[in-house]
Amino acid sequence: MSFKQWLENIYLDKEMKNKIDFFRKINIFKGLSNYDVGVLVTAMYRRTYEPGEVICPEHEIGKALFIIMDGEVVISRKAGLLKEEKVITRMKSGDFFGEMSLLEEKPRSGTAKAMSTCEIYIIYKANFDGMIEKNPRIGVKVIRNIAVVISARLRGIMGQLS
Amino acid sequence: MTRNKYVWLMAGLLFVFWFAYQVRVALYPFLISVLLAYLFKPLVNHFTAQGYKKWLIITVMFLIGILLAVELAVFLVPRLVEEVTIMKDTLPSITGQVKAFLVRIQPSLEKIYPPLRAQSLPDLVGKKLTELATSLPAHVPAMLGNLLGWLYLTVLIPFITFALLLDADRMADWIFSIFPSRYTETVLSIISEINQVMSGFLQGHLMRIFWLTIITTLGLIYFGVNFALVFGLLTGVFNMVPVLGAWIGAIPPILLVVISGNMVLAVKLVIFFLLIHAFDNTVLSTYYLATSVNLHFVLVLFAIMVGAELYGVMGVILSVPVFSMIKVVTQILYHDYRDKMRVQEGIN
Repeated sequence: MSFKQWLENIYLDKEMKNKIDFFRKINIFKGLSNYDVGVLVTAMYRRTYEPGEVICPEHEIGKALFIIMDGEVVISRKAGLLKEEKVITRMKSGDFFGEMSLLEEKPRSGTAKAMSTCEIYIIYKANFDGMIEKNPRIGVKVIRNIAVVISARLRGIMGQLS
Repeated sequence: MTRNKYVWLMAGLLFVFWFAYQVRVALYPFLISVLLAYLFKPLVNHFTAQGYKKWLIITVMFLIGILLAVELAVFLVPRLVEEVTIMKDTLPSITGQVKAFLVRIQPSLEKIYPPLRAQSLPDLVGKKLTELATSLPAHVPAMLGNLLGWLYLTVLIPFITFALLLDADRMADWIFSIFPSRYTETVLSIISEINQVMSGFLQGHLMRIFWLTIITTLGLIYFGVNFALVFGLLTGVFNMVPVLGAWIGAIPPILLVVISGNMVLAVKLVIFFLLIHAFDNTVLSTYYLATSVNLHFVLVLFAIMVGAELYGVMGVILSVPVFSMIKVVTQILYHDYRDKMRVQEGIN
């Protein structure tokens, strides 16, 4: 081990570095610097969900964005006359949901449920808004990335319909 | 959440407040540590975001803080001691001046308020001032010798602040884990909004007090007012009391100048404090406190009185952010309940 590495072990937080590396790979944080992602990480909260636990129910007002660090989540919604639960998509580590909540507080369009033990990071809308006010540069990039994600999902739906 | 659960939650919150009141004396070092943790959190977050270890950031911050405090004490304490000693020595002559001033104005006051004829104002006020002059120096050694106070200041408060700064995130994670998952977003909004109110208010308030103290002290030195440093620092202390503090802080220097008979300087000081007040309202408060507190003026006064009654000085300082917190939490719970009822009606 070189002196530089030894010194870095003393003052650098490896757990934080791993988190930053992880979040930088996520679509909505693309183009952000390490520090920008670090600022976002310090504004996030973490929660562990057990298998079968509902993370956010359909129709409830969304106030946060959820990012899956570990585990599997299924998104479903009630459809048809019998209101049967229909699985829309399955999500894994690195995926996220609830991004529309960062733009507007509206009822969620589906239920998110943990399929395995999940470690999930959460950003509260008001915290995100406050951060945009302080760092508009970060805000513009994240909102642009969210727009790209929504646009891609919309194109996917249009493709399925046609 | 059903209506019953909201009632239980509110009852739980009331119990927490009642318990906090019962153990208020033991809570003081914790409250001060929480305040300090809120003040330093943004700085810790700034360096954490750059990838530095948290314990190292906090340790360096504490060391720098101790060095600055020692430097400040070395600079301020001798000057303050000098001013307080002169003040103590000149208090008998000030008492004489006050008496002479009151003898001059008593006939006019008696015309406005006849019951004053029954007692001699100069004797009454003179007696109170003499009592103050003898009791204050007697209290100082007791205050300095208060072992528990020093223990709080040097050991307990820094230790708790360190622990809070280091583990605040884990505490939030723990709070999430004790509530059922369906309440995660409600708990998240409550924690985040409380953090926002507290940190916004404390950081803003501190910056506002800092500038007001500097401006007032420099102004008093410029006008040649005696004991400018003591009065400047007193203004800072009084300004910790929201709304009323700014006015109370202006009274002692103006009164001293009025009693000494220099009415031109007194008028200048009144104008000076009015200008500071205007500057505070239009620039400092707008810039530093605009987003953190959104309470009506009457509610602010009520909060201060309740805080003073329950928690003394600490209650006065904390009254406004605590009332803002209660307002925010009530709003979140009410909106949450209303939204869920609307959604329920929409589904049915």
